[in-house]
Amino acid sequence: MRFIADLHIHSKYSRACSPALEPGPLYRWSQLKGITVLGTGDFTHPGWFSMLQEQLVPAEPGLFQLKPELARQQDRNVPASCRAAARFLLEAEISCIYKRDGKVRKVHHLVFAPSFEAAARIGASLGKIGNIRSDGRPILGLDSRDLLRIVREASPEAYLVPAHAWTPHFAVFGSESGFDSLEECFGDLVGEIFAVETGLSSDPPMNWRLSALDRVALISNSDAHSPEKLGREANLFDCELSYGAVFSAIRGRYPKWFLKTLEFFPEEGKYHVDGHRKCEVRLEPEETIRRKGLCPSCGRPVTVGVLHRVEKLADRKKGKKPSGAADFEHLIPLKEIIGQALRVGAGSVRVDALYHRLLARFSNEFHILRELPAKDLEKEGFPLLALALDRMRKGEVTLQPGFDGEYGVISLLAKKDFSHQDQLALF
Amino acid sequence: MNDSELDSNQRAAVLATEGAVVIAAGPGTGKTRVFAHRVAHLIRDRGVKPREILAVSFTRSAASEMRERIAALLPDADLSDLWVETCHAAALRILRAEKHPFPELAIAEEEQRLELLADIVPRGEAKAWLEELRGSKQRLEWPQDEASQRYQEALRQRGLADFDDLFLFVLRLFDERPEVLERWRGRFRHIIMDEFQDTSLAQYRFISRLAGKDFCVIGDPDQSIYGFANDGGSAERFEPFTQFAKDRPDRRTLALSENYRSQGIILDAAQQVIARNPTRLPRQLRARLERGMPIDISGHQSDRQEAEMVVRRIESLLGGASRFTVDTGWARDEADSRSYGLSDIAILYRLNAQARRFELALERIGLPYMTYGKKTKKDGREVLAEEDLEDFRDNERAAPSLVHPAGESITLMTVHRAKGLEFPVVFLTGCEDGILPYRREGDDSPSPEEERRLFYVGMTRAGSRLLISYARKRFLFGKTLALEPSPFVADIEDELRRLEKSEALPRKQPKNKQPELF
Repeated sequence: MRFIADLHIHSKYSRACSPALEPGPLYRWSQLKGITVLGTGDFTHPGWFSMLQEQLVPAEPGLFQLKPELARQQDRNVPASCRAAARFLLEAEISCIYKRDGKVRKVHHLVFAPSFEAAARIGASLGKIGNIRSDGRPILGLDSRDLLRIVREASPEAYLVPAHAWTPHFAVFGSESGFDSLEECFGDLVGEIFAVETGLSSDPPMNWRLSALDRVALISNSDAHSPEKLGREANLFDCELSYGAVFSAIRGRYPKWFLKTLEFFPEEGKYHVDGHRKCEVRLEPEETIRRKGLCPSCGRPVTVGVLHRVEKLADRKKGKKPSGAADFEHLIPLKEIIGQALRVGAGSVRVDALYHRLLARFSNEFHILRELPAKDLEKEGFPLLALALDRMRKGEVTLQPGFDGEYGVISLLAKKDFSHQDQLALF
Repeated sequence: MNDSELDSNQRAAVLATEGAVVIAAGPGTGKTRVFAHRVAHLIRDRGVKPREILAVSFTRSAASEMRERIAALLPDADLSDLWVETCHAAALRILRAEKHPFPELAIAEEEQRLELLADIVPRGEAKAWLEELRGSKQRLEWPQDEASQRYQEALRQRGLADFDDLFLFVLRLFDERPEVLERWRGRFRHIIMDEFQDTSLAQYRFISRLAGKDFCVIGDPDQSIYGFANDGGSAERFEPFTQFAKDRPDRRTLALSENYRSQGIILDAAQQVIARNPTRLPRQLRARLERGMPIDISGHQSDRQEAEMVVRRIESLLGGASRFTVDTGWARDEADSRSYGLSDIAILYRLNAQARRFELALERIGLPYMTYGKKTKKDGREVLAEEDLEDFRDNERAAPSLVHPAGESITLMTVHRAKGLEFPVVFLTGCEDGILPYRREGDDSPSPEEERRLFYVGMTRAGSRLLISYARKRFLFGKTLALEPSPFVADIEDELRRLEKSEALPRKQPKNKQPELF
């Protein structure tokens, strides 16, 4: 079957994350978004682990579902148009901070487990090394290679995938504290790495420029810190619904099973180009190089973004798609599109009201973004939305890239699109 | 400088193998390197056999590290006969070899000692009684009272000895059987002793009896911080360097004065502090590193706030430990633009009881840390000497780390325990008058000179960054104390420091508010 999976999120136990990140609301939001398989996040956290054990029951092999009585409560707040199966897959993120070859490395990794038993074994091993109780995404003074070994020893079906591989501060290829290659990071165990998560600020074509990544799959996830952000990036599969099938599809990079990733425009990500947020300085990579990496405002080194870093490590030009690579599709969160059409912030009450109205009228968010004919929106009385959606699908967007922690801005509509009549038509 | 290279002072210290030699080695001057090279030089260039050398280290971890360094310098030599031991271990090896006073001598554990004492001393008094006994043994006096004799007899029957009995036994053996002493003295033609400033009377007597013509001691009087533990309660403090000068008037003194560990500003500040010790002989260390960053000195309202600020500062030194800290700008930019790792950072304090605040603050953020040393919840008056002593004994016995975690972590330990260690970043905390220097009511406070040396030891652990902090209020041993900054802090001149106001948590300021008042 065809389904969407978002394999990297967080729970309420992670630092700076929404208290709403509990199994029930996650189940509800999976349906609103159109996600069939959702990572649990944070399974190493003892509080979250027991909450998952209490509220989930086994579903298909390696997947879990919300207990029926809890699901019924949540379903009251899910419009019939969105009701669908929603599954969980045990996932956690670990922050490794350690020194290698005299340099400080800070690298985040995703860890996946096929069962509560395997997850408990990983938790127990990590609990001996450091503090896994304070933060759902624990910080450990552990070498990435050693983490990989612990994960692989916990179960033959437990896996590690480097998270948001290009973000400057906390990633395997990060400009600030990462490595130049997977080999450098994982040493003799590099063969166990079969995928990397591309992160919001990079998309597959950027990653295709490194021939070293030809052998790994590129996956995309939301890294959501609140339920509404679920699925802002995700993966589209067409395979059996099970833990084993999902990872076979990824590991084998079977284009018939692992169809595509659903992506941000990478410019929208927080670390796409270079710059200094505090100095309000945004630099394209060429400009940074010309300025020898220094901020024109404060004179200190700028935060080098993902585009620059890819450029630095790339060994081929744009345009080549490695064989076996999954396809991709650029999307913009529906609330942002609505916000642009209404000319208000994506977080406003009006946007929220219209969002839920559209979901109830049509179907889940992914359906609206990817499949709903634009003319249906027009017929329903939303011509500007239809226009914006159409432009997103065609990639006709204006981009103001993100830098140094500042999200980029993607514009779908221009001033001239807003005529008096259209404005009225919205209501 | 790689390990095979030596500067001219170091080379002179390595080559001076004849006679009695004092190597005065300030912090970070390459003492361990000189020690290892000296041993290697004797074996490789002077034809001395490994079995003819006794190398004495202060702790077991130092001894094993020393052995590795010597082995690295002599990859082809068979070093199985080379003794690199602590004083206690050397005494125990000799006693076991001589089967004295009984064949299988073992050291009594704390629990065993208390168990044996159950019939001899009322339970509540056992610990104090043992302390007293220890004092007399430290003065090399066999206790004569009935209870002590019963206790020693109970130990003997089980083939046990107290830790402090070792030197009494071995010296008695040497007295009673001169041929045994001659045999060992004939074997160890070269004796080298590290951390000499903290040698106790008993240890010194033992090693100096064994020593022949070629006897080298290495140490730094400015880093002597265990005087209280070594004087056995006697009125007169045992001064190892003074005693050595008396016993070996023929001695030569060589100084290591180039410091390779600390940046210039840190070293200058440390010397400004130690120079004020009245009985100290003037001497100067030279920094080989750059000047570096000024010393951060910050005052805080309370110990809780001190801990929060230390942890926040650690986050920025790490270059942001989480996306949250990076994205919110919580991690401030550090002027040296260098990011440090977890294991580069140490939080040092005077009393183990100060650790808890830091642990709580680190837990909240989820940063990995490792606290070395025991926690005590007793009244501060009795606790201090006891816990310093605990650090001292742990140092004698084993590596300061009793557990080795697989992951890196931030180090939390007392200044006493940090002796001999170094960290790129040191937070020297709780620098308040009454805490460091520590003072108790009554006249049993630690010597102010020794407390100043302790502060100096704390400062000189730092390589690149030294951050000194104090609190106005501190909750300690069930009481809230109102405190003034340590007088030692005032001895650091203004040019070397950067005063920091304790920062309140960042609050959003209205952007258009102009600082018109200024």
